[in-house]
Amino acid sequence: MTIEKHDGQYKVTINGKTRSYIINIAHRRKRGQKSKWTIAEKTEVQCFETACSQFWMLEAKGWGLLLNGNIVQVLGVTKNVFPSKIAKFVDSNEDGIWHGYPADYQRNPQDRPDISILKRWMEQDIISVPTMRKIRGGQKCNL
Amino acid sequence: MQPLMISIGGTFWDSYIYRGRLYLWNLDGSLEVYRWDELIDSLPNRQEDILAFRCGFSRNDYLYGYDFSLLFNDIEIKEMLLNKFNRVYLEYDLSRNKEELHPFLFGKQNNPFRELPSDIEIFKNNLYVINDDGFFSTTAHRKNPKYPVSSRPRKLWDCPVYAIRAGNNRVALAAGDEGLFEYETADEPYWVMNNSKLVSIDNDIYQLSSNHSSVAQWNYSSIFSSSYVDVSFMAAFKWEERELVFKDLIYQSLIFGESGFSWGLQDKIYIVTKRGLDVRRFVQSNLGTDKTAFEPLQSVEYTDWQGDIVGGGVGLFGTIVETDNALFVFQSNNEVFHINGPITRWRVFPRSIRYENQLHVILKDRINIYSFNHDYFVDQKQKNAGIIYRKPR
Repeated sequence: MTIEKHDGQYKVTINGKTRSYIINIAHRRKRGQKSKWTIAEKTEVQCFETACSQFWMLEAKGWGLLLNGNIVQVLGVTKNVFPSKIAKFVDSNEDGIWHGYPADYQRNPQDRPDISILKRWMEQDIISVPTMRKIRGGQKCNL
Repeated sequence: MQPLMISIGGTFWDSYIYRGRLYLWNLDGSLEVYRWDELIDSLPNRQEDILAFRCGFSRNDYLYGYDFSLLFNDIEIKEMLLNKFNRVYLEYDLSRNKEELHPFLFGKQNNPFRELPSDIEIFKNNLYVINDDGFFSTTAHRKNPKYPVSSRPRKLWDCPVYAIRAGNNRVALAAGDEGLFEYETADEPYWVMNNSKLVSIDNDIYQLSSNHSSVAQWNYSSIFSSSYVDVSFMAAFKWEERELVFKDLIYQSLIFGESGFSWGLQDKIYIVTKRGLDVRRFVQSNLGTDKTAFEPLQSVEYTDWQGDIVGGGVGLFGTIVETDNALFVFQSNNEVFHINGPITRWRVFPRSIRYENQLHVILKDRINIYSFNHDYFVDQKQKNAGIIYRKPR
């Protein structure tokens, strides 16, 4: 597993597969109508790397967590300034260049992790089945 | 009066009861369908307990209705019935593992969908499902035990949705920030032609509002949209000269005059306040008239929630408040029944004809199927907790 930075773009290589990752400045501006990261850029990229290495990725989207042991940490705030503990990563143009943002699973159904990813988190003892259900239903939960 | 409870061991994701069959969705995605009525009839050890079992679990409709009011006003008859339910509660162990249920297994099949459903509804022999891929329907209640549910679902819409609830030939879809939508199951939608305000999104899918929607429930012909993160509202419809017309959106501030999580069903709307639950009786026919459509009823005082409130629901037997680790059932007889979690899923079936007093609660290693039987003896017009019983047409 390696993370290298070239021309403002991170190259995340896991098991010989390299993905490009860019920091989307729209999710780091103090003002604006988007969710915002509250973690350092470096931690954001590490979060992406963890999502890749733990197989929390689908074809052009993936979800990440910031873990301290198995305790899920806050990594940003939603556009309504509520704490967010789930990151969503997207390869919007399907050109191998990814970016991410703090997800708002209660407002946007698209931000909810795919159920296959939630099942993986459950198998990894990160979340319980009730938490998986609450995330799918957009309910508040103790993630 | 304690509810009866059948407990079935297993790791479940969802459940549904429909026309004599219990649908159990396992966590591995497989679906098992049981012959529920036969299972219930196998449980009584004594002839004199059959009535309590049937009325409690497979024919909730037997004891409802004004036909019985004369009998239930007779204190001796009422006592006798209460004793029957109480005896079943005290003398029967109704815990079973799935192997013990095998004689009643109608069929088992692989998941007809790619993944576990986020929500399901069954009506008119159709199973409606939402998952990551969108909104689907497929045939249910089939005769073929290899496939109790058709394995060829039809995609109706590809928008991701949080929750669905079936009404009369209509399905309400809560789609978060995308808003509140409605799917028309009737061949010829009977209201759409008169509603230029509403936007057709896709085949038979109409947008009722772009306000955030987490869950939607039916208040007769209108839809109450609850939001876990924003303001709840009612999409109000009114019958005018035999035509159903979309009137307007009515926000919870107009209904209650305060903020908080609110939800509704049929004739009741509830909001959680600092004092407990505030209640309104919804009178559909008063919409658009000088009379209020939201009559205040006596509040339910309660503050001992032991956690954040994360959901709500209503059945005939009472109103239900979900906290992050428990369920509180505010029964129509003014008692409070508490169920400890963690809870994977819970469901009520107020639209059903025979199972309207059931509450399904899925826990880590089992499903508990509760039967609340106090409501037969409650004055339906006077109760604050729970919707009014109306005889099916």
